[in-house]
Amino acid sequence: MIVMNWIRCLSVIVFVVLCQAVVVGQTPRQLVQRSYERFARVKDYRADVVITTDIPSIASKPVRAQILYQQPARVAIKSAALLILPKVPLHFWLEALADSNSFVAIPVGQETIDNKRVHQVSVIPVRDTGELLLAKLWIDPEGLILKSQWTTRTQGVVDVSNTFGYAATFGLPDRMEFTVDVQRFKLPKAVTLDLRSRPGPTTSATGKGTIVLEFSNYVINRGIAPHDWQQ
Amino acid sequence: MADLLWIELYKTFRKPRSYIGIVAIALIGAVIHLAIGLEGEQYLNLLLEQIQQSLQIHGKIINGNLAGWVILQSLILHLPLLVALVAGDLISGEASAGTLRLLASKPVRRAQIVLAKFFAAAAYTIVLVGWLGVVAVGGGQLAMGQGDLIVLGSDQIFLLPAADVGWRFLLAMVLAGVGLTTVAALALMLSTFANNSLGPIMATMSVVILFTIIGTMEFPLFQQISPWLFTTHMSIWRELFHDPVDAWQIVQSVLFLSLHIIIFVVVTVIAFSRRDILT
Repeated sequence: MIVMNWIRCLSVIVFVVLCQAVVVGQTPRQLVQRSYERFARVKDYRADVVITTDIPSIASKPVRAQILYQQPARVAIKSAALLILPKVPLHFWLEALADSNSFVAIPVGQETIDNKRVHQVSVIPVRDTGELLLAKLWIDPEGLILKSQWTTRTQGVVDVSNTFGYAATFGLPDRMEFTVDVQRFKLPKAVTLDLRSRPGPTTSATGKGTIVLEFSNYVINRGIAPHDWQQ
Repeated sequence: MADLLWIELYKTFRKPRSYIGIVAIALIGAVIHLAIGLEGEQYLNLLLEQIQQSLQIHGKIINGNLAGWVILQSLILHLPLLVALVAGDLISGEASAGTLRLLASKPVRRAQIVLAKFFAAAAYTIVLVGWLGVVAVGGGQLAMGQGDLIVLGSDQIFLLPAADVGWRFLLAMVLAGVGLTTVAALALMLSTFANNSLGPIMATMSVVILFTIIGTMEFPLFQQISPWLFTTHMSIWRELFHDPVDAWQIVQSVLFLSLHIIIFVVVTVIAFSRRDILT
């Protein structure tokens, strides 16, 4: 009788835990997949963007541009001005997360970002031949990637912070902040003929630079005419 | 004085050698424009290699403003030769041609003769720098169009919007003019002590080359000397292509160069006033 009661009790506990897992809990892979699927609903978009850079060796002013995107990975940035952008493509993470069988997602824990409880997930590619070596994602319960860190084969470590607003339904951020490793810029005076050069703003061989993209006026899934792609 | 100046200007612009600089600037400008148009992007990518490991520069880097800036920075260092070629001949040329005695025996003060020659040399310098601006910036914009300017310093890169570079080029011409007038004044001063043109021209160029080398080489000893050399201040025009512009540095350099001009002209006046024109 006691054994039967124990079995009943255990069954109830297991049932409750399972229900909880189904209702609120998600596996790390599901979380990642949910983030991807949110963005995958975007067939195309266009948006205005203001690009502000803060890079130790580069002095530049904020620049306005227009961004066009079309699935799967066509991106155009239209501006008459010179722009400084991270070398990684704007939506580079899509390729890495598109195939859920191509990576292993490992739960790391939970953190609080902007008063939101987020899941931290590490993504490790199954094959070691691609550009991505390791990704750390901070995903909120709605599947929005608030923060990510991408360790790449050729471009070092790229940190991305996202702030979401009215286009969050599609996983499109209002603000993206890229933090990249930047080598110190140094050319001999004999090359630049800069006899009065000022001392550079940094003396270390490498430093961190940030590039902030502030998006506005999203137009999503309305199609982009072929002539719009021409600069 | 005005008559003297007109005579000196007439003499200066009548000499064929005065046009060597004009033709040279046009030819060199055309060659550099062609090279930048054809292979400028590869060359720039080579210089920007460190930055482009993690960043990309998006947009039309090769444009008329960049071509203009490259020509300016390449040629302004070499313009002293063209200026010295004319200014170094102004007094020594008279001596070698045997006209110095005639000139000095006119009923005008020798100081006025020197000043007229100096202003003629300065006018020639202004024409040369103006022509350089037309070839470099005007030619560049005609051939490659407008665009944001990327300026490579020794430690920093400046991205300047296209709408923000016109005034910088104009002021750069003025500052380059002040720098080259210093060279003209030096050549004129050395010309007072010689009886043929070659000596002052060579001496002027030797001083400019020596000072430029000291300013370019990054040895600690040279770096201490460098701020006291007028050639270092001649490149102050580059400050205009920094952001923000350090106006105080520009004022300091203009004062430094102006002081040199005054000293060179005063020495020339004294030396020419005492010069023996009989032998």
